[in-house]
Amino acid sequence: MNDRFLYQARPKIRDEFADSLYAELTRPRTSLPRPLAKIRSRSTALRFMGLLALGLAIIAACAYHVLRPTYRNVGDIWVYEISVRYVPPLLSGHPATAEAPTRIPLSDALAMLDFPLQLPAWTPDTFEIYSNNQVIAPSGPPYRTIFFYWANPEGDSILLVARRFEGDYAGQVSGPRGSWRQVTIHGHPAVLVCGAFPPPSASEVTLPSVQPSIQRWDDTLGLTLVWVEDNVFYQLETTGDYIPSRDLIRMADSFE
Amino acid sequence: MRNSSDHPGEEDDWRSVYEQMLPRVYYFFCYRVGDDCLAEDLTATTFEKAWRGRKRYRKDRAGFSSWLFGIARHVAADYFRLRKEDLPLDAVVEKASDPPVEEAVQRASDFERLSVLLLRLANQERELISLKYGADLTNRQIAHFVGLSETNVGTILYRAVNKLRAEWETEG
Repeated sequence: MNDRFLYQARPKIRDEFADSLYAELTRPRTSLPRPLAKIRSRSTALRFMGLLALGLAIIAACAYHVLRPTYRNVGDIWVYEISVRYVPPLLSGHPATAEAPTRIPLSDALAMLDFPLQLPAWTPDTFEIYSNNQVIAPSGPPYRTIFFYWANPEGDSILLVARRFEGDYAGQVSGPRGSWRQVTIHGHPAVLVCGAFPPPSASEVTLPSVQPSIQRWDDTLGLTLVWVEDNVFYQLETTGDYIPSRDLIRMADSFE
Repeated sequence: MRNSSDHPGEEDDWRSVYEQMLPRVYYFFCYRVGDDCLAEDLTATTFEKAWRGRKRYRKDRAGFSSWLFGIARHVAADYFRLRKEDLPLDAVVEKASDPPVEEAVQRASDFERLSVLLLRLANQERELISLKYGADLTNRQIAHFVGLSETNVGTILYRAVNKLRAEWETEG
């Protein structure tokens, strides 16, 4: 078979190409070599850079969309959607000396409130109200915010915060996306948040210079239920998994 | 005696392997894509991939030349795939109605003439020509690569070369 023409027609390989390619291949590198052909072709390099920039922009946009805190409106309540991770601020100097909250008996507290307060007719088993040790905050009278505690013999507690508000802003509750859901209390839209950030460790509390560690949202660390009724913002909180969400909702539904 | 191109494991051998294999890879691409500048780019890509993967190459799996031309075939396939994606519709139309081939052949260099003739071949024929006359592989090695019998490879090559030679002589 006469195929000499095939050999005769082919071009001679350029010496400078062979030498430069060999030098490029064997050049010591500290990182992965870039594709030679790609950097040789300007259009390919530009396309590569464009795709890289586009990819980074998409990643940044997705990260921003996923991570940025957002507000969502549920009835009169704002839900502040936060990240599942949280870095507490580094404490420095001396702790602030806040004015001690006022503790007064329940009957006195109710008398000094400037709004009619509803109380639950039903509480989970063994939980009882601390009738003589209520906390009123932060100033008054007349008081606009009141804290109530219910506790059981095991030391578990349920906290109620009730606050009268004026204007459009009732209040907000925080939780990562997926940690909360809308429920109904007395026909009003309400928000139930499952979980919380773990409390700071003892060393972080007692040693202000200790860098706080990153906290991750824990779905088992209690429940928060908020709703609005008659211009009063109600917030029921538990700090563990000792009360199921249906009981907390039942307790809220029994307010009268 | 072992062929040095089949044992490039130590970096000391790389220079001699490179010198031996570079023309084969380059000519493989020359025949495959019909463009000497593009052939340099694709050759560089192939050697770069081989250089980066030289630690992964296992001597017992296949000869170095087979491994290297396996890479080269993938590089070529990638190139054709990307070119197909990039080619705008009007370019396709222009290309289809293009060839004043005879005119081009007249004024082209030998390689450009050959490239034009190679473009007339079927893709499989062109690949076999590239592997045979560019990569300098045997019919058996080519058959292993492309999944045909050795006889088939020989037959296709025989017909393709005869066709090319006839056109070469006619248009020369």
